[in-house]
Amino acid sequence: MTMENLMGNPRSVKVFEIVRETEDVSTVIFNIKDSDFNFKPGQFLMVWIPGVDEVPMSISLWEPPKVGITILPIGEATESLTSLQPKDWIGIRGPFGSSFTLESQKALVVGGGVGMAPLRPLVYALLKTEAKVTMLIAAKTKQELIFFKEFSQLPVETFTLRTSTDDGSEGFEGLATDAAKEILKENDFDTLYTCGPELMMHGLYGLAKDRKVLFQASLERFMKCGCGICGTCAMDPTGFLVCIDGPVFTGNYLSKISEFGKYHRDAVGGKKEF
Amino acid sequence: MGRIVESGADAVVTKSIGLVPRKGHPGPVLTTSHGGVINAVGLTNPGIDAFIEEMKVLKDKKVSVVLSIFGNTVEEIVEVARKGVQLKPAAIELNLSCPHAEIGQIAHSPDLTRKYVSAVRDEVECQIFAKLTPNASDIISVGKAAEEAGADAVVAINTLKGMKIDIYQMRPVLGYKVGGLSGPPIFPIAVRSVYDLSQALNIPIIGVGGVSSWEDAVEMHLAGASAIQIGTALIEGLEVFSRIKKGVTKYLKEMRIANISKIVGAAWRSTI
Repeated sequence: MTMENLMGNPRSVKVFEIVRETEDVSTVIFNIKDSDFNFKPGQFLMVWIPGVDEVPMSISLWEPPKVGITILPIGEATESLTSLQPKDWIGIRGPFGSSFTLESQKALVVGGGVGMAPLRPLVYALLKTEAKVTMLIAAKTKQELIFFKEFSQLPVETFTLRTSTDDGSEGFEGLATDAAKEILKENDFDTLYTCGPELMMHGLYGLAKDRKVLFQASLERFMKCGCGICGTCAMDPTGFLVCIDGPVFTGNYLSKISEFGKYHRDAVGGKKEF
Repeated sequence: MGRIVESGADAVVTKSIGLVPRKGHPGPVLTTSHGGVINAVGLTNPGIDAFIEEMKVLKDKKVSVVLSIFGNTVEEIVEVARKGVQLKPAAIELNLSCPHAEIGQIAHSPDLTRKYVSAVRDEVECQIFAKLTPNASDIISVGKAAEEAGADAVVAINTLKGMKIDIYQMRPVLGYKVGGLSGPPIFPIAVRSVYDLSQALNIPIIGVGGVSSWEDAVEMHLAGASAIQIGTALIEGLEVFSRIKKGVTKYLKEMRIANISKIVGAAWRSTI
């Protein structure tokens, strides 16, 4: 592989469209024309916002040439991303990382908040394999449910949508983990896929383990290179890199990662508890 | 680091550690040009105190650690070295030459280099390596200054100052604009530097810069390197260490050379 390939073929693209998903969350859509640009659900891009920073972002839309990332503004880089306008330039590298596997026949997909981003293409890919998919979209309030309208209008028989909100304004009232517990009681699943706050994913990991359901989760860590050279996203104690060994890890992998659900690292590499 | 050791490296050089936590530069912190990597990470590190804590996980693994350190002043680097020896590193490498941070200028000057190296020499017992930069106008004088000040070896070379401009956005790609070029494009410069330094100095030279194959490793030894460091080539995976070792071993056998030390500097010994 050439250095260009290993570094994710850096290129600049113009923003095509910004779609507002909720009051805070937006999807930035751009066109990628290269035929060699391949993607599997769960993979991410390193996105360069000129003059600001470069940050990892899950791909939430995959309809070539249209590609999208969905952003909740939480800091300087994500705030700049959500205030982009059509025709603005951004740089992208990737896609990088591991992906969700699509072997499931009966899947439960749980997305918490903006964790829905990588799960959207996953659900479409699973439905294409004719798997039965139950999706639980979770958020604090009804207004913050991401892709709720899109999935509630999905005319597919093998798809079931469930929701949970902390305040009970839509669907189950309470935490996503409690909603998932109910759903797991009522139905049999072979795989639980998730992305969202790590404490939620850690709770779901416990539920899946108890019920002997396979588990796949997409993790987030501070990242700089995205391609396995800087070591910023290494996890204790194994040194698994979220950028190339992850971001999607199976339950088996996660059982070896002692920091899962406990702590992550900040910009200087210091430990921060969840 | 544990993974690197398991993959066949004989020693691990840490990222450079300073006195206090340092965030580094805004992204992008790396990009590519002409088959190389240009980085401007900016010496991101948690500070020596937190780093000492982290290193406890490696205690059970039998690993030779070279602790790379930097300091913005002589006093600062001495303090980092004093704290760092608690880890009982195999050696302390002084990063005097990061091209995308304030300390980049030290190894441009023989006088500054002498001051930094001798100050650390006076403070610690363990082996000291001085890392040199090919961005200096006269790397030999800087190498000699390091040797005279008590360095046990010099490490050559650090990255070369470089830049990548995005032609559509019409601006430098790196957040810090300027970065350090590493990887295959700098290999011939590293070979030349090692070739010159190893003739001028009496202390060993550790060769680094663009080595990615066993052929490169042999060439680096022939230029005068007693040991070799690998950085950028890790992007292709950790197998690089075992691949290089295997290739070098086969070469030595085919060439009927007893061990690698026989060929260190052979390229200039044969032409003198």
